[in-house]
Parts: sequence; structure tokens; C-alpha cells
Amino acid sequence: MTRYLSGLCVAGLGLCGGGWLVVAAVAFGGESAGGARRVNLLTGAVLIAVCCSSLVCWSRAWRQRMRADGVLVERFPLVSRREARRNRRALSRDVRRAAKLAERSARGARRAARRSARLASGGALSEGGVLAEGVASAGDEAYSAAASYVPGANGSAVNGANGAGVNGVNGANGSGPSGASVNGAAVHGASANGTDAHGKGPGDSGVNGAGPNPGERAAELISELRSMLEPLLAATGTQPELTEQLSAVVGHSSPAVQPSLAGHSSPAVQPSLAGHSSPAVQPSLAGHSSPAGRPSSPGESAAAASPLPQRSPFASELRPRATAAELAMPRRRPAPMSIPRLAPAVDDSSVGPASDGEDAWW
Amino acid sequence: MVSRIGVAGVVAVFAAGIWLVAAPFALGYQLAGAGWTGATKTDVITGGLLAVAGFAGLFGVTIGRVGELYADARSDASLASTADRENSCS
Repeated sequence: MTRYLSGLCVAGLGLCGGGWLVVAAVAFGGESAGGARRVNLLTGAVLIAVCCSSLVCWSRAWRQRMRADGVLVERFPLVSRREARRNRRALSRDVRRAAKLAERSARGARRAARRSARLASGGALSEGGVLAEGVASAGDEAYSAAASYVPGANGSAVNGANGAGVNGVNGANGSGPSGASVNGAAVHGASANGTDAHGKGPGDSGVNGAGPNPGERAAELISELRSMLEPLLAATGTQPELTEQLSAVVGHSSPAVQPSLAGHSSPAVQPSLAGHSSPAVQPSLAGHSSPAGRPSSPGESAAAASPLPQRSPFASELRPRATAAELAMPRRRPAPMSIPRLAPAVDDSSVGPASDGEDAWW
Repeated sequence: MVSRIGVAGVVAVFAAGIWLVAAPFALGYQLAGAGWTGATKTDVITGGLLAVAGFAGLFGVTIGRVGELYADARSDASLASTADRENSCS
């Protein structure tokens, strides 16, 4: 630092001396000092020039040294106007491109969300878990509530949500008084259950929790339904439409078919189960406090003999809650996760009036 | 390079001072035995100051450069000793 300061001081002093020489020659030269005046002017001018360059050199040298030592940071590089304009254009172009990409990705995300929501609301049969976690429809609640009547037999034995469907089938297997009507009801019950029993009805009471592998559960249940319904249909042999429906239900693997199945979940389906008189079912039916609780008459059975039997509003109360076949079926463990109840819990151990869900349904 | 130009400027200042002191007598506009004119006084005084300043500047630059060389030698020696110590430890 000493030499830089010394050089700067000497350069500054030489600048002052040169300036003084010039000023003295011009201002105080007088007429008698012709030679001295020229010498002073020339010397002063040369000194000024030399000292200016020396000042610049010493200052630059010092700055270089300070920059090398890290005392002075690197200067911000100056950018020409043209380069600045080019950079600005490139920057705005990049921003536009990024905004476009972001908009596109947001649109894709919205579309995916809509698609997933549609799938979720559609309740795809084929997809695992939808059977157990589908969106409940209106007609769903009766089945779910029925499944909650006898949880030990219905709900837990047949995997919760589909318990109603198995009920219907088992009921059909049971010794119903009117075979044809029971058959039809059973098949419809199965199809309806296939669509809407997977919902979480208010009375579903958490029996149909999402199992560890709902897809396997659904497939297993469908195969059970098929195995139970096939001999039944073979025995009756009078309703090919039902066979088609059964095959449609069993063969379902896309959510697009769901609405057609959901149509079967109308309340008109359920009462066909009323024709049951299975001994295993009787106690639960007897406990019902429904005002219209009565066994199905032969006329109703005849009405139910149609491919799409109309069910009466009281049929679900008379529907068997447990059959011997159900009790014989291997019980499945309830789902580990708890499903929030949509309605107050019903005392499942008591065979009594319909659950809140079913009451609300009616 | 820059430092050399700077040193050259200092040397030029010193030379200009010497020149200003000697110019009245060398060029003959100061007669021998006569009293000094105003121009002579101005040149001698200014030249003397510039020569002293130039000399001091040269002295300072030299001292500064020598001091830097000593500092560099010291740092190099310390770095070398540190490296030797690390090598001996490893």
C-alpha cells in the first residue's frame, strides 16, 4: 500500500507543480522572461500530462491489487442497450412460455381431478374398493341398513356392503314360498346390490369397511354370487333375462356400466326378498316392528315373477337378515379402518326395528 | 505494467524537478552573479519541490515494493512450513 500511496502523492504533487508552472508563466511571466516563460510552459504541460497518466496508473494498480486481495469486489459488468433489449425480450419470452406451461399443467390437473371425481362418484364395480366405498345412492340405504341388522351374519360374513346382495341371493336360495318370485328378487337383489350395496348407507354401521384389498373382495363376492345364482337359474330356467342381467353384473368391469346397474337399485327391487320364509330368517323378521311387516303373498310373488319385479316398500323389513347359507359362509374380518357413520349407530345385536337409515329411506 | 508506468511517472516528476532547478542556469536566462529573477526563483523552488517529491516518491515506491516482497516471502515460508508440518504428520 505504501508504494501506491507514494506514487499517488508524487503524481498529485507533480500535477500541482505543473499547474503552478503554467499559471506562473502565463500570469507572472512579464515581458523580460521570454526564455523562462517558454521553459515553464513546456515543463508545466509535460508535468501535467505525465502526472495525470501516473495518477491513472497508480490508481489502477492499486485497484488491481485490492481486487486480487479480495478487498474490492468485481464490478457489475456493464451491458449495452442492445444486449439489454435482447435480454429483456428473452426474459419475457421465457416468462410467457413458463406461464403457458403452467396453465397447461393446471388444465391437465383439473381434467384429471374431474376424471377421478367422476370415477369416484360413478362407483366403478371393477375397481377395487369401489364396492365398499362407492357413493351411496338413495336406494342403497335400505340394503345397507339391512346389512346392519344382523352384523354377525350379514355384515361381517359377506363383506359389508355387499351383504345385502348376498342376503338376497341367500334368500333366494332359501325355501321361499314362491320360487319364481324369489328367484327374480334374488337376482335383482344381487344386481342391485352389485351397484348400490357398496354404498355407505346410514345404517351400514361400518360393517362394510374397506378391506385390505377391495378389488379381490369384490371379485370374490361376484364369483360367490354367480355360484349361488347359477343353480338357481338352472333350476327355474324361465327367466333368460335374469341370466343376462346376472352375466352383465358379473361381467362388469368398467364404470361406464354402472349407471345401468344403478338403475336397478330403485326401491322397487328390494321387496322381492319378502317372499322368504327361511327358518333362519324368521326370528329377525319377527322382531321387526314395521307396521306393514307381513310375509309376501302369492300375488306379490307372481308380480315379482317379472324380469324386473317391483318391490314394495315393506319388503326390506321382511327380508331375511341371516340365512343358514350365510351363517355357513366363512366370515370375513371387518375392515381395520373405521368408516364414518352417516347415521347414528344401530344396536346391531338387537333384532328389532329398522335402522335409522332404513327409516329415513322410507 | 501499470506499476511500471507509475514508477516512470514518479521518475519523470523527479527529473522535471531537477530540470526546473537547472533550467535557468542551463539556458542562460539567469545571468551569473546577478540577482535571481522572479522566473528563476519560481523555477528553482518549484523544481526543488518536485525533485524532493519525486525522490521521496521513488523512495516510497521502492520501500513499498521491497516490503511487499518481504511479506510475500513470509507468507510463502509460512505456507511451506504448514505444508511440511502436514506432510510430517501424515
